[in-house]
Amino acid sequence: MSKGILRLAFRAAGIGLAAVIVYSCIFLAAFCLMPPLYKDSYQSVVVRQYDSLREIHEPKVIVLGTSYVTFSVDADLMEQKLGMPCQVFGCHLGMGTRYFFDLSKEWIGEGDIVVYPIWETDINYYGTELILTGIEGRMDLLLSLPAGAVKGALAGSRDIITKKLYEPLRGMLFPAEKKRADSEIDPIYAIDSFDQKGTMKALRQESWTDDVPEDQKKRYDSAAYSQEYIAFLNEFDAYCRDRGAVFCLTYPTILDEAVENSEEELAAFDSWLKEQVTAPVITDIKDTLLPREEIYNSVMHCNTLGAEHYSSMLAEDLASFFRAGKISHCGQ
Amino acid sequence: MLFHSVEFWLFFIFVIGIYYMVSPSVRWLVLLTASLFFYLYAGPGMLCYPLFTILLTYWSGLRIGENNRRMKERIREGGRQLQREEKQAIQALYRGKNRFWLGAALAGNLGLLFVMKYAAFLAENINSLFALLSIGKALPIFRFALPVGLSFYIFQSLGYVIDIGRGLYEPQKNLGKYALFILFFPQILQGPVSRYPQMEKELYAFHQFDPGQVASGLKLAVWGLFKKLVIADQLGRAVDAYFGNYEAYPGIGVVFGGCAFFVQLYADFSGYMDIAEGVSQMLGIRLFKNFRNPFFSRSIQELWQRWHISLGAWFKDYVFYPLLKSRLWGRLGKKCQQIFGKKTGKEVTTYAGLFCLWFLTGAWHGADWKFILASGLIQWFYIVSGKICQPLSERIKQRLQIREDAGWFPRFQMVRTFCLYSFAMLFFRGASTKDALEMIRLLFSSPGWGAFAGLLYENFGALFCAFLGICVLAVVEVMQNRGISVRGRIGQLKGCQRFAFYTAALTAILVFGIYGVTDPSQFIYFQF
Repeated sequence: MSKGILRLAFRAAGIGLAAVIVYSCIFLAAFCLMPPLYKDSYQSVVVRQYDSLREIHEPKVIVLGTSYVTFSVDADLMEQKLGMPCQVFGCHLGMGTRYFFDLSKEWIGEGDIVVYPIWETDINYYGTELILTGIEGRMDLLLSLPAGAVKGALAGSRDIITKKLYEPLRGMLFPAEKKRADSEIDPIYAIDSFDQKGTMKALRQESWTDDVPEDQKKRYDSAAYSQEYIAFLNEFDAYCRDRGAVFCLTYPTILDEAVENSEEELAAFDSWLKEQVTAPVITDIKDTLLPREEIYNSVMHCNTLGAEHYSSMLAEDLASFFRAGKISHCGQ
Repeated sequence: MLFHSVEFWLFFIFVIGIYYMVSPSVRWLVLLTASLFFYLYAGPGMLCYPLFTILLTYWSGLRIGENNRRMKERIREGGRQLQREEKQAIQALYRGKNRFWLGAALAGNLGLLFVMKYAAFLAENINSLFALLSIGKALPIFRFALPVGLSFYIFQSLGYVIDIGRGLYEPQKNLGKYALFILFFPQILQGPVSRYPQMEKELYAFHQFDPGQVASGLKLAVWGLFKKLVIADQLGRAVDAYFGNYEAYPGIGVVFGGCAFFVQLYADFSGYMDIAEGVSQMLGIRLFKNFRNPFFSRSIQELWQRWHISLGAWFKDYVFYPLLKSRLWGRLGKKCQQIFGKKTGKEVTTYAGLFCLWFLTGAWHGADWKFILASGLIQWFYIVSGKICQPLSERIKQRLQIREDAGWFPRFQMVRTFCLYSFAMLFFRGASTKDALEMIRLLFSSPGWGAFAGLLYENFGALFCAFLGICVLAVVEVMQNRGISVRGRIGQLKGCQRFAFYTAALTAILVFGIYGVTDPSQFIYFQF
């Protein structure tokens, strides 16, 4: 009997293994060889940002985050103000904040300044499906997928395969619907909105005009910042120090009327955060609450005017920090 | 623990390993332990409901069995000297006692089912009636979380007690073995509603390890997974999109909604059954076949002989036939014959019996009028109107010289049956009866091609995968309907061809199935 069981188990395992190998081959073919589907997508800017980050070999400023840094930080402006290269590294929130931390780690070097506008997030979350679409065709980025993101790789890879199979057929069968769907996508969410460094350059002139909907109201609440998240930031701070870099925290831009906290509550949150993290918090929280004129299509996304304001302020905060002697080489 | 979750398969590998390793005499204990664990996994508090059912029906079964034994003994002891009246008196005495125990089992179980599943529904309807009659009172509404598989195991255990009462078989004396009959993990959540004599042979018998049997079961389970992950869940995305916003898709959209949900429901439910059957087969246990290619049904009546067969058979054996044989029905039949004449009166009585049968079948599916209509009264209407119109349809066939066996006619009947059942599915899947009626109105309002194209475009990925799956399903169903064993055919392939085939099948599930995105989706029949 045991011989029979073993033979059956061996056969089943063999078939399972063969299926996994065949599946992997199909995925790799779809990922690398088939015509790209996401090359113009918003999330594909991660590749530009990553390549640009790798190519900066001198001390630099890296601004990490998700879409709120994409929309709110003008790297060129910060570069002018600080006199050192600046790189925005972050785009779609759906990819998971942690992915940008993980990917940047290898390229943090001596003299670098890593800035993170802190906002509540599930620090263990990886949006692998979206990550795979963002890094489409890049074998090196696929191989450097963080361990935490591998769990979702099966579903993500399946989406890539099926989409590559059906997408051309869909466009062919429903040309009118495709045209309509394409026209409904906000053109800002495309790779053409970015320069070669991955900084958003598309002119965003419109500003926020509506009342703030309930689901977009924001609150600084220490309960939303898990101890795991704080511990992760402190570990990242220690990592930066080990590599001779400085990690500092700031606050993201938010439409002032969308924030539900009172001034006292904001001050209390700021004090709480400073007690929790080992990295310095360089910005006054109130300065990051911007008026309607500087906000674009979401309460945390700046228009061009807002991005200029925030980037200048961030550069100023970093320089002040430097002047206070806490960062030795900034603003030389 | 869902059949298409990783936890289940890890659990099952462990169970099957232990099952074949231990002595055959205690294998049923392995299955019982595994079944208890499987049910406990759904929530520890949930186990008290099946335990109540098990204890009540076990004890009732024992008492009834004992009474039957004593009755036979006394009659045997009396021998030929026993007068006919005396014999009848003995029978009446023990049948009276049996009635008590049977009543207790029925009241306990149906009471539990009523409280958990129907009390809130009934209270709501009474309150609506009060409101309609301007009675300023309202009954309190208590809602309970429905224990998984409640309707299935209650029906199975009641069938057991009723059959013992009928003297069809002896009760199981071992409480553990009886508990296994009710709790057996592949069938407790969604059936099939098994019968004790068949399961007795399967569950407690010695099963030699048979690699061929295990491999065959595994193939069936993989086929079930294919149906669930590739067809049901993919199609489910488009179906959800339609029913979630049905007002936007008039005309052809309604047709799509009904038909797509019918296919989804079949792939989901029969997929579950295939996994349950396959898993049981790997343990050497054969389950009751619950589906027999329902898409090839030429009438609604035939469809119900091919769809959820165990439930239909249960209702027929324990509700319909006893009802028709009852005194009350006999009196009703006589009354009807007096009013309508012999032939029509007989038909009216049968149709009234069918009405009760289908009302209960619908209500079994859920405490909501939409289920009572979809799986009950609409089906009754189809069957009864089919019977009433039969002479007319015969005349039409004669007039048009249509031959029953002509190639196209059976196909036409299959399509007609498919459409009729799909129509009922609008009630089944719609959020409420009101929504279903609105969908029917929209069916005739405008063709809605533009909106429908939008629906197809938005859900093209899911429909593309489901379509490929449905093509495979169609081939398999045609082969099965022609009596060709698909697994047998695959088995005839050469070793390397077979290996390639299985690899391709598994890869197809990996590529086109839905998994790993969030938690695995529930099976549709879990809610019942």
